[in-house]
Amino acid sequence: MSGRKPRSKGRERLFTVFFMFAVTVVFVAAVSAAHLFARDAIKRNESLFLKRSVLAAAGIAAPADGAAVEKLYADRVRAADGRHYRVLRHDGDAVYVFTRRGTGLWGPIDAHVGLDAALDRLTGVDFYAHGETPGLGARISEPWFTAQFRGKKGPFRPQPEGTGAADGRFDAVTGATVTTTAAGDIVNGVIADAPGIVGGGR
Amino acid sequence: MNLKKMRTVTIANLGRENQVFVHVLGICSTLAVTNDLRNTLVMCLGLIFTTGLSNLTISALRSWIPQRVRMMVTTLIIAAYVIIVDIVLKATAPDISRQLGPYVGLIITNCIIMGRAEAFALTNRPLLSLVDGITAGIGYSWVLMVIAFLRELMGSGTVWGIAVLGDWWVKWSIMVMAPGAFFMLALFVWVVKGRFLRDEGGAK
Repeated sequence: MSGRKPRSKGRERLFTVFFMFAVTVVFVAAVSAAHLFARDAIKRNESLFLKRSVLAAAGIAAPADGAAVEKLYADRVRAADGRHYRVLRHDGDAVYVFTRRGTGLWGPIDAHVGLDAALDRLTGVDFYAHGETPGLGARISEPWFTAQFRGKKGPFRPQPEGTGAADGRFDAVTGATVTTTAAGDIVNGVIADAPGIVGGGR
Repeated sequence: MNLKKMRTVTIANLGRENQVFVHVLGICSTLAVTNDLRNTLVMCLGLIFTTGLSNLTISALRSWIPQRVRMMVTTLIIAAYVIIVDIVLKATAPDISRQLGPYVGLIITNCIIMGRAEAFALTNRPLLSLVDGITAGIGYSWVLMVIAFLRELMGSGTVWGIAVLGDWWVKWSIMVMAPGAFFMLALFVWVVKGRFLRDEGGAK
């Protein structure tokens, strides 16, 4: 810094502005380049993630390999309208997967909820996007929480952790009452609205 | 001579001048991401990459950066590198990126990076600054890895996602939750400072 010749105040200011401008241009260009370079891969990852989530809600175990997921999805899932999918199971039955958004503690919770052909029992639930507290509310996307809905009949009421095994009951996440309630509301909302949605789509 | 300086900087960053347990910087991420070894490692690699390159860049530009806007320039440079890390993670490791959530973006506000830029890169040569940035990152990383190892082991009974403690182990759920991080970090600082940095104890 000492090596630089002293400059007049005006030139110093001009240099500051020019320097800030130049640095911004260079680094924004670098970030944009990285964005353009990775854009397709990110888009592919996101769509793969959603497809896995739909399959999980339909009760179909998704393979680890990305291409296999794409194929399975293309074979079995038919988008009926913006709000639900019709998914063919291995046994030939059709199940329905619904997208629904609920209100969590910190923001919206997006979920896929699957119901069997009679719209009676759940085939699976997946909370695929939320901003809940890690370690507390965020546990709704852990397998122990989502798996407990499978095969059960709604509507649901939360129970203390470890006691919600029966139909219409599910284990709450201890310490995350708001999130648990939101998760229950999402599932119950789907159960209530499903006949209308599927009937309207036919 | 330069090599000797690099050695001094490295040893200081790993031990006596460690960013986490001596300077107590970067604590937010230390507390937040250490409940799972895999996430911790990714966070650490992201931080090492960012501190190293931001130190290098800032040091290379140090004779041109106008004094009065130097914080703006350093923040801009750090932010650019962090966004690149975020983009690369999203493209190559989407699951980890999703689990780390906002924490990758929050590397920008990690005090260690700004601290190294202000305290070191603005007054030292680029290569030495690069070494300083990388070793400061490694100093942060080893502490986090130790804490993450213990928290994951006690909280989930696993190491790197592989179950090592059998069914007899009662999982300490508190270890994977936020309070566990406070206990672990405090114990860690206590042990390290009490046992290994004794002679300096109470100097501050």
